[in-house]
Amino acid sequence: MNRTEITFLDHTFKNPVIAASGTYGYGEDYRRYYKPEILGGIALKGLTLEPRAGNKGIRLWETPSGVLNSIGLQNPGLDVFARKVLPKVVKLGKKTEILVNIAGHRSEDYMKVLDFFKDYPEFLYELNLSCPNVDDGMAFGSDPDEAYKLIKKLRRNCELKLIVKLTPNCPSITEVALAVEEAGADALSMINTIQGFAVDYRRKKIPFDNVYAGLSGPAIKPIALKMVFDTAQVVKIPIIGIGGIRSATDVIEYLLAGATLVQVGTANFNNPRAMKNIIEDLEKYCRKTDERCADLVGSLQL
Amino acid sequence: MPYLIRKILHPNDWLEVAFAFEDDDVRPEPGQFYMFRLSPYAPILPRPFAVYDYDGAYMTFLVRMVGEGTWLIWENEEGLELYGPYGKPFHAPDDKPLVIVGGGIGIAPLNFIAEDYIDSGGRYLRSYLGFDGKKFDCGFLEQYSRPIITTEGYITDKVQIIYPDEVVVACGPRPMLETMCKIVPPENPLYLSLESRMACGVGACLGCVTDFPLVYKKTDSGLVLSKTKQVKVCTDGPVFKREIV
Repeated sequence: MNRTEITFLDHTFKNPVIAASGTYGYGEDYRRYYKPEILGGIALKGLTLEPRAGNKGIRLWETPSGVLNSIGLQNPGLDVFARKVLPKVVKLGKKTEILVNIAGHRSEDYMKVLDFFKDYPEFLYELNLSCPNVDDGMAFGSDPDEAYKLIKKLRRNCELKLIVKLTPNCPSITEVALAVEEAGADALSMINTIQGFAVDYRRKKIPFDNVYAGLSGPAIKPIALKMVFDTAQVVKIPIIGIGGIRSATDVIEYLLAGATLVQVGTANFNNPRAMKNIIEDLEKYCRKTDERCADLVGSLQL
Repeated sequence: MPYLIRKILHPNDWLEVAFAFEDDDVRPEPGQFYMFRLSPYAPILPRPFAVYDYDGAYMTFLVRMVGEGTWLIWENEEGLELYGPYGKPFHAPDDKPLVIVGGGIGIAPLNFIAEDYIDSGGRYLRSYLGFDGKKFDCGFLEQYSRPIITTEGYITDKVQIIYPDEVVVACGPRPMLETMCKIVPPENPLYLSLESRMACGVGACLGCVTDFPLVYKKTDSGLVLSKTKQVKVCTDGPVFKREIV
């Protein structure tokens, strides 16, 4: 009996553990440690319509129990992805669930990418709303009205499964969650990185060319967990919980708080076998307690 | 996984750490590095260190003790795990004379590259080693490469002549490498071992990607930067070749 098996948007995941976008490339880079097929799913590196070189200068800065990153969505763009990467992803997708992560500046950017993928309904589509909107510099995801308008547009004529990845860098993440639910999102994934800042005291400089950067890792877990919990109280669509997960017990905490699936990112850097260990420990836990992951979802006693 | 067998603390905050291998461990090649995961908790990111020496049985790293992470290797090895070997191997051509130019901790990957060169039959090895006051006595290079050593100023000032046919490999601070790119004649192959902040070490996160001045063009006044190249240090490198257009 597979106690970790769980259904999400009509897909059967062998376990709720997904690799987080931006930490796992296109699924192949950790092969020397374990087969990526053991994962419940993999969220691919963010894809944009046009190629992006990403940020110059320093892209990483360590913090206590976390990492600040400013990668800048470096990716080869849809064209090169479709030619060079997609065939391998399709192959991998036969053995594990694939979440194609898409970012953009304008609604047209997202639409063109989604339009290309209409022939690939077997994948799930995670929409990154943290890219600054070209018009006014605010990320779509910070404003419920902007988020609603975008998702409403993308939802029209699109049969694909749309998961909206929410940013915590906004006045109210639950308002944005409700807005995108109403606009027709199939699910939510939360949270993306929390905006942070660093100082290089030796050089008396700001390390990042873009000044600010995104914080991830164990430090953000209590904040992410709170946001998942609060959102699960008000939306009906399923939620993927992300933020500082590095053990099976962390996974269980998110499931209890209301997440159906989780994503693991930063933990891969501290230990390339982290996800394999998490999955094995999750199986052990469920065997010991005679529980199924599916039963844990949202079963916190309130 | 390789396991720690010896730590030697040298004067001037240099640390040598040696590891033995388990039977099914992949062995390192010159130019490669390992990620040192100091603890499951903090510091959260592992540190990349170039392989300094490998004699077929044991692997040694040379570490500069500069901060919290590096001091932890000396003080506390509980929880230390090594991931690797990572990076593209680099073998200096053994049928050409080899010149090694190292700045500070840059000596680390160069030593293994030089050893491999001699072991493969290379006959002509010379070196320039610059230290910022804190010298390290590198036994192998002192014995086999007739090093010119400085403990102040720029080592590149001492690189007065590169002979035809010589292959040059350099490692050190970025300004030093940029200078090397300009002063080594275009006919001499020049290789640079780069370093970068890293997170995953396997090419997945793009955290180590850097825009490095690698492409130069010949002009009447010498070599001038033509353009930078965006490279992933952990999987495209760490050793890169200077390009001349």
